[in-house]
Amino acid sequence: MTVPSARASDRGVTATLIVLLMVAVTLQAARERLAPPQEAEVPTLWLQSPEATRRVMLSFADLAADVYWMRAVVHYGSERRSHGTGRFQLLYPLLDMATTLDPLFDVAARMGAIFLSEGYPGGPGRPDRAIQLLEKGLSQDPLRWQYRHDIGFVNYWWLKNYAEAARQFELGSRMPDGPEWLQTMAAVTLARGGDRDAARKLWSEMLAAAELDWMRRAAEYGLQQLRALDDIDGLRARVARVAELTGAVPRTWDAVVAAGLLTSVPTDPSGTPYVLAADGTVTLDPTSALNPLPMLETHQ
Amino acid sequence: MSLGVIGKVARAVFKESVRDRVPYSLVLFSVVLMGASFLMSRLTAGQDLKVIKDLGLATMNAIGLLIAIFIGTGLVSKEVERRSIYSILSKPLSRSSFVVGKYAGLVLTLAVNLALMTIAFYVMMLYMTWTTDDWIKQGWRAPALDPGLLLPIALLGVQLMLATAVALFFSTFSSPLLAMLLTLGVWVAGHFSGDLRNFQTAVDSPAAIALARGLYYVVPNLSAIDVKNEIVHGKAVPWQSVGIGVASLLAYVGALVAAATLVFNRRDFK
Repeated sequence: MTVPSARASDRGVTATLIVLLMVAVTLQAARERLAPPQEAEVPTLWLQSPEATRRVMLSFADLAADVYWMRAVVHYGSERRSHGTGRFQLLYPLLDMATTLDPLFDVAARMGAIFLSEGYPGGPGRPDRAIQLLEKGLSQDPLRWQYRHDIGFVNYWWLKNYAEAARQFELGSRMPDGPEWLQTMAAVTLARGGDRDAARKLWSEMLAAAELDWMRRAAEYGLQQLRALDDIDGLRARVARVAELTGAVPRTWDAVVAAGLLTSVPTDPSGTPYVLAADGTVTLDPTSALNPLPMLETHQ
Repeated sequence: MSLGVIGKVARAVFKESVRDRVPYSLVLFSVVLMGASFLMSRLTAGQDLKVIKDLGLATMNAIGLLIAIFIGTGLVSKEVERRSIYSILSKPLSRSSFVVGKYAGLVLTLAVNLALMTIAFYVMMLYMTWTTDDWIKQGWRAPALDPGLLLPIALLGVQLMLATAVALFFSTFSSPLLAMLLTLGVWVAGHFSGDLRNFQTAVDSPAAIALARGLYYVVPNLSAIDVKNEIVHGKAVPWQSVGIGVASLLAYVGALVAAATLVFNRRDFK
């Protein structure tokens, strides 16, 4: 073959290559339209045993832990965004896998516990699983007082088991590097468990001691929920006052504003307007990011 | 055995690996690291530094192992297949110098590769330091530019020295494919050796337990000097155990290179 004819042949092969690639892509798109692939109804966890996975990963277990952690974050986020249809089925197995593959990955255990505890539909509402994850972290790294703090917190906030919460805070305070304020928390929890001021103190201490951004945000969120509870109490009192003055329960915020007891439509700390029902009850808007609010009373 | 001759063989191996485009692995390494940092930062919920460190160390491990296995297993067998061994052995160099020189050349290639990957890794860490808010940095267990990261990289170098010695040993008497599989087998066994120690939890037979315990001491324990996890989490390193582990692996390296030399000395190329 001469040089010009070889070049012409190369050009022919290149053109054929491009055309065939375009045909392949077009056929692929056509097949996709004709028979769209079925989305898996339940997301799958291919490897089931964390211990076996850790062995199989050899010296790449840390990286595998990161992958499972990212899967857990994405799973939690996508289930939350599904607005009530999410079931968070894979959340615990993914977190269990991440914390077995990397036993020192405390953020996965601690932040995972927050994800797991969150009430439905914002989370699976599994504080029992959250405690299980934290206890596993504690068994792997027994000197981290933060695990005791978090177990106490889950008992306090989600299980309302104030005696156990106080015990965990107390145990945490006795650990090496355990902060003194944990002892104060133990005392406050025992004396006034379930009251808003105790919860506010707990969140404020958490905010002050937050080492990580997500902890700071979790503490700020908790404080916003408490502020919303206080707001709702104040708004109920104003609604009752308007009913007393006018002889009729106000049906809109405009009526309360007109009575001079508010200057504008009240909004919760996330910026969503509060809902005033026909019977005068005040609640969060169902779309508010602060839902569901904890059941906490004011200290008498 | 002459050091000068060993040096010449080693330089030839290094030059050949450069010609074989081994350094391109570094480009791949840098691209993976940089791409991952941008892609993952939104998926890690604030754990991007840990993920990038883990990814960087794991990539160095994988690339180093691939180079050790793919080049190491062909070190001697390729020369035999190409029949270039006849002209090499007709020159004034002993077979021992040839084997040791081949080993030293690949270790030099791995060391240069690892050093360049370490530079790329630290450049990435420097970028992380520059682009991260001070508030977030306060939550880091260990800084991005942690000099402690050099320890797991150096220990990885020791592990790769062992993998190269294993590959060279198998390369002296088997085909490249078989040598590759056998080297990979030793690498996997080296990470499983901890399980051999606790074999009594899985079986009741005293003979099997004794055999497993014996194997535990014979198989090189690679996981004993794997401190990536401790360093990334800013935890203390068990120095004594790591030191003994390194000394033990270096003894294995010496034994394997000696065994490779013995096998190669006895081979008949007529």
